[in-house]
Amino acid sequence: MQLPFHPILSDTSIFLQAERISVRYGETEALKEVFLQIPTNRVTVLIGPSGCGKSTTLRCINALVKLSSGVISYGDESIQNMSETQLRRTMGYAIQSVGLMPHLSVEENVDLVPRLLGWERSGRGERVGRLLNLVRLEPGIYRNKYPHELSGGEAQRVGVARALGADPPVLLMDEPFGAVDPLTREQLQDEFIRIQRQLKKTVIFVTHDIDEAIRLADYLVIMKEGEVVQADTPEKILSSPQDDFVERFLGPDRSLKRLSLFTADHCCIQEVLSGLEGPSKSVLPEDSTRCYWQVDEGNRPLKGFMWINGRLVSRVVHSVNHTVQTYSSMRECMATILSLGLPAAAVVDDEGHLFGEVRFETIQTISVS
Amino acid sequence: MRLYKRSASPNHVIRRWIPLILITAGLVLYITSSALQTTILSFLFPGETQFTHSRKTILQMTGAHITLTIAATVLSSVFGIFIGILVTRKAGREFQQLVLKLNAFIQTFPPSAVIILAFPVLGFGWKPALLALFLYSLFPVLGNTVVGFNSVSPAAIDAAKGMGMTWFQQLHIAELPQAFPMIITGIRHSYILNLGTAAIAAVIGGEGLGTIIISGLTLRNSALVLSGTIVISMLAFIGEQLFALLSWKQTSHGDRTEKQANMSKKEK
Repeated sequence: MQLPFHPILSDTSIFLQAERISVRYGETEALKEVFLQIPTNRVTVLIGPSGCGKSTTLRCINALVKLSSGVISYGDESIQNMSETQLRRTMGYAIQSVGLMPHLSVEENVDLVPRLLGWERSGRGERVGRLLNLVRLEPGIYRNKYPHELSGGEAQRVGVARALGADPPVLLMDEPFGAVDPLTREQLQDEFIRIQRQLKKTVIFVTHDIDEAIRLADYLVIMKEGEVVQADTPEKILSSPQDDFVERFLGPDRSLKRLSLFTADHCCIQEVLSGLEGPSKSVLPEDSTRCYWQVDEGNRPLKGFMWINGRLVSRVVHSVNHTVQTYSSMRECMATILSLGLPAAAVVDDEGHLFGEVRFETIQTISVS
Repeated sequence: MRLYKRSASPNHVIRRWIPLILITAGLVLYITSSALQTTILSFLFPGETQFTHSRKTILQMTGAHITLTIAATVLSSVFGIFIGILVTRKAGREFQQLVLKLNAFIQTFPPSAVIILAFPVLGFGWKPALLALFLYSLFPVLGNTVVGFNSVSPAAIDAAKGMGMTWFQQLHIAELPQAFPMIITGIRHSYILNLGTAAIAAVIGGEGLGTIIISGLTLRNSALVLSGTIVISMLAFIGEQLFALLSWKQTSHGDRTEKQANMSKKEK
């Protein structure tokens, strides 16, 4: 039998390969001879409706679910020949229900895998501090808290920090942002993108949220009834869905979804007009189509100005809602542009400094290309 | 800022220890001094002439009583926790319902019935008394151990497995601490049960405080009955306080979040 062929990313190697893996629970077949390749240092997202086998696939990779047949190979070795506990300790694991140990403090939870690995005690406390900073939790405040004192979003951040605890090369994430409210989810996704850019892990991510999938994925695997339907880059899948199922799954707003594929720092203009004072005629003449940003001493945008139909329109920038981060998607940029009421949005870096601006024309160009 | 106390303030600790220390001191004084026993009892029962047991001192009987109670409690704790862990593992899960039903059944027996039923089977002396106490108090520990382990959040177990804990690590790092408050409650229940049942064990040769209570009942001497009862109540109070301290230390920072406990199991 010919193996189903799914193109793999050309710019990286294969980290892990599943060959014709099947899982049966009695009569029901959860996975049917799935063939799957996971690219190294990229985010692979498994997506599909409930019961499609995406979670099962993930749990096969760290041997929480036993294969009925087939082989998963990790480098040159088959995982069936490796010690389950050793294998799992090299894979960070984050799940929807977080599963923090309620009797351990945040610090002890994050420190669990290094503790299992028997790392030297000195330096571990410092490492916990660094990880908490990475997920944007102030170590001084959170280190000694207990899980019942955390909000859902905070608990999930701790869960991600714990998964990164022993600096594993691969992260398995099973709907990690599924149980939090939409606003927190968006923040967590932003953070995830930021962290992934910094750490470049091999991530295998399960979700049922197509927007989340398109936003996060470098390599998207669409599953249905225990089989892989299509696996490719999100761009390819959005532009040429394999069949009706994929097309219906992507939804009617495919072009809008495409915007999620681009981030602000790649699409923004970095030479912006800005200054501590409001715009003078010489900087922003009446016939200019550019936008001018008034900033404070720390180069943080305060106000945006633009000539529209012979009128100088100004809008006050409230840092949270009216600017976008360098790693925000173009979809968020569009939302920001609409809410600010200027045909451009200011892009700020991690510290809130003005980084550039995203213009509405750019968005138009992207969505038609 | 949310204030959160991990350890109690010194004031708090003292307040918890004061009644315990007072009662313990009272107990020691009472059981060691027959003069004190006579003074108190003759004040309460001016009509009586005999205030101590004819052959044994209160001290001897208390010693035997404590030994019997603690031995039975330790035995039932060790076996109860061990069996409880076995039936909450994957391999032993099928026996769990049986154990829980047996537990509910045994609990319906009154302590006196246990001792009287044990007599024809086990004979006379402290050994049969110990065996009867052990069997009877095994089930509170066992039942609570099972309930304790079953209440561990499934998400925490999944995470523990997923991060690569061995069977043993999963037990002692993830599950046991979460089940601990429940187990302590079981041991506490078992201790109190044993303390009372050990008094009845005097009828089959357990040499505890039941001896003086029973001779008081036979002689229609309320002073003797009260003398034994006072000591048992103080032992019960001290035990309760010690267990409360133990489980309070464990749970003060370990309150499980409702959220985590209620999290539904993941799609399988």
